[in-house]
Amino acid sequence: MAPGIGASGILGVALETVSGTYVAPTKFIPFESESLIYQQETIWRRPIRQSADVLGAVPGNVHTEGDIEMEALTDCLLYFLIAARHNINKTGAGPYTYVFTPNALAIPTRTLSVTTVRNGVVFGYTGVVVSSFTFTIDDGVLKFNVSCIGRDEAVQAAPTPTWPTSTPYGAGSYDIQIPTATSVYDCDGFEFTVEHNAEPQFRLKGGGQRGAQFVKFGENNVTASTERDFDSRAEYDTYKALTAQAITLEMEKSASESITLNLPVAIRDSYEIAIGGQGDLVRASTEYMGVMDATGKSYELTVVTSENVTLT
Amino acid sequence: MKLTVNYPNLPKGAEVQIGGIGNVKNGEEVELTDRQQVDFLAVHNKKVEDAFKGSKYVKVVGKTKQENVKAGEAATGDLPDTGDEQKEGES
Repeated sequence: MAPGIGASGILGVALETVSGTYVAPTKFIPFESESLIYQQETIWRRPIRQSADVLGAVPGNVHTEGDIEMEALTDCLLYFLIAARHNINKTGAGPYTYVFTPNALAIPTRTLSVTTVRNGVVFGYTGVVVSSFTFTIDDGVLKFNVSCIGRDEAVQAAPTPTWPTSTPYGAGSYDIQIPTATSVYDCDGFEFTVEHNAEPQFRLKGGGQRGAQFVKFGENNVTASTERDFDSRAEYDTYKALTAQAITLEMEKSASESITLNLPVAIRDSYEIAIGGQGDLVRASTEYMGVMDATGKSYELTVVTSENVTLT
Repeated sequence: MKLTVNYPNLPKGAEVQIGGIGNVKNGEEVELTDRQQVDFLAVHNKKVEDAFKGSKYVKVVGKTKQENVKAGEAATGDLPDTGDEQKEGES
């Protein structure tokens, strides 16, 4: 096959009925980059037998991992949020409202099959879960990045994609509320990150099966950061006092398409004000730690979309 | 040749885009023109009916016309030769 460029790439996902059993993609994701790899922990033999060289290789455990970077397309990111560690409450009859809140489960409730086509060659990743995800702003456009961990990989039939026609969130879509219900207009960037700290788990198996038996989640970390104009000590003082605030980052295109990121109890972890140069605006960089509220959640994501995903 | 996209996760009338064909509404049957059949072959290097064979959500009725197959092959023939196809001694 001739050399190819990334432009011909395809990435598709499908929710698995049985975790680890491949399902051909039903949703194709326009993406900016991906780095999914097949990671095998080969054991290189070095017994002592009058030689200083490697004597051979023993098959080790395998799993898959990597990142996917994309525009935050409401109908597409939904699938990745479902494959993270979430309780999901779906309401409505179209458009649908999906509310995601964290839980403490060790094993994901839903996993994905992720299919990539690189220069015409098909890779089918199975048992994929989302270990962490980030919403961020890049040049005014909302981006969504995920880090995935999966159980195994095998070649699959080449899919023929049908692409969504949804568009990303840009200027004029944002409502930054610090604290919640108070819109601010001095913020030009934020990052909202959730880490579930997933790890592949290996068990002794036969039949040449080397893939992870399952993927477990670890501790949750929820952080957010903002870049704002600096004009008073008020927030700096709340940082020093470890005062908690609820913050909400809302992106809306219409009543039937929106994303809301909410930290009900956000405590400032750092607050930095610097004078960078004569011509530079004086700005404040704030990092928040999401802390569990009285109802047991450290964050809440609300996604409104016409995409109808069957959750059971 | 007719094509119908019927994704249960999309509302009726929502559009999906298929390379070489263009935008198609979910739940609606479309008649593919000769030009769309040729363009599809050029983009995917497969005929429409072969590309969606076995698909749960995209149904194709009919076959790509032979003259469209030839036209599509001519279009894909414009692609550079692959290394596999080089004859011995060619640089």
